[in-house]
Amino acid sequence: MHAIFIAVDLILVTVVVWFFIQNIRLNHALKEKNLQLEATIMELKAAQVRLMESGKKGAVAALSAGLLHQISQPITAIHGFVRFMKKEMDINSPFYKPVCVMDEQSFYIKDMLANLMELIRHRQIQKVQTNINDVIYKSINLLLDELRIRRIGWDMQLDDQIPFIFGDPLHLQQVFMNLVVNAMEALSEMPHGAPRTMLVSSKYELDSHQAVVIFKDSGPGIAHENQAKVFDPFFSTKPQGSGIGLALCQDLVNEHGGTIRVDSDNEGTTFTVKLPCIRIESVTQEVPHEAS
Amino acid sequence: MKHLNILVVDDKKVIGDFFNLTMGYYGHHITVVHDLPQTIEAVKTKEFDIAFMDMMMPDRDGVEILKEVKAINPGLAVVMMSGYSLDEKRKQASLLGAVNCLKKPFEVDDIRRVVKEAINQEI
Repeated sequence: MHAIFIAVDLILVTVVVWFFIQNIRLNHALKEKNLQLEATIMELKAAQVRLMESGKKGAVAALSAGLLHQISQPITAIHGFVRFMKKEMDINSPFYKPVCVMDEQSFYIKDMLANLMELIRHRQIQKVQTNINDVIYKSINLLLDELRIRRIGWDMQLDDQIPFIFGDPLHLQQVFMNLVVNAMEALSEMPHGAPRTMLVSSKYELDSHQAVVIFKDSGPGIAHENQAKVFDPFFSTKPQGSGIGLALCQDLVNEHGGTIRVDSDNEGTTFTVKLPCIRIESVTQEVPHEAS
Repeated sequence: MKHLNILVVDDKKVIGDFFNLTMGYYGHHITVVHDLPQTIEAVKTKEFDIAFMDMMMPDRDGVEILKEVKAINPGLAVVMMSGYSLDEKRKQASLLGAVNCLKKPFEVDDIRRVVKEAINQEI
């Protein structure tokens, strides 16, 4: 009899333990599913934001393409005629100076149209294994004269331990040159005698496995309320700005899977570009690509 | 300098005026047409050294007009003009025998450059 009770007890204990273990398993599975669900919801939200963003950009692109086609006709006539008149006109004519101003201004519109076309045109990105520092060197080299003329003191601090990135050197050069030109324009607003300095630096961020390129200027800074808008197409704080340069930069960086952000106060502005590096295991022993 | 016979195909009057008042001023003969029937008529009845043709016409795609023009006069050098156009369209035009594409806005020096490249004439 006693043995029977022990056996029943054992069975009961086994059943309780089994339920207990199952409960733990179910709880664990539930938690896991909850986490997966949360991750999915987060992904969905991110996708929704991206979709809205691309929808906005798509609408802007479609609108701009139509506008560009319409505007390019009268501008061909205005710009073309003004250039023609300037060429054929006697420079002593009282109309020569106004024609020169018209030429300069129509050139500005023409240039803006070209930039806008670049922004909305579907670009063929050609990504190759790229040394990010080579691209920085080339960008700065092309602007050395301009930096000297504008009396801007500049420095470059590049980390030579950054792994290669997978990118289009020409497009990245365009981004970096845009950011340097942007800094130069900000610095030219500084009062006479105020320091005009720019620092370009690069480093490797181990945690995120990203190359970080920083453009820091000692310019007047961007008002807090405008900082969130600087990457919006057509937004500009400069009187002659088209609001296209930084929108283009963001587009190009995003197409490389990277990010660009701005931080600014009254001591200057910093643009930080982050680009994903190639995973070590996929880096071949080839000679690194020369940015062209 | 040889005076050229230039055909301009564009529905926008202002583009024809531009060719007339600038290239015409330098002594070239400009014929401006605005649609497909006028273009066909001009190509059938006149000899041209070069044609400038808009990529986007309201009644017909510029590429289609190019195709018709090339069927009548395969040897005519045709330069396409475009404000904003897709690369795909440029590729099509190039395959159909367009020698170049002039991006609007352009100016007299751009016209000179493409004429030199297309038919090797200094104008």
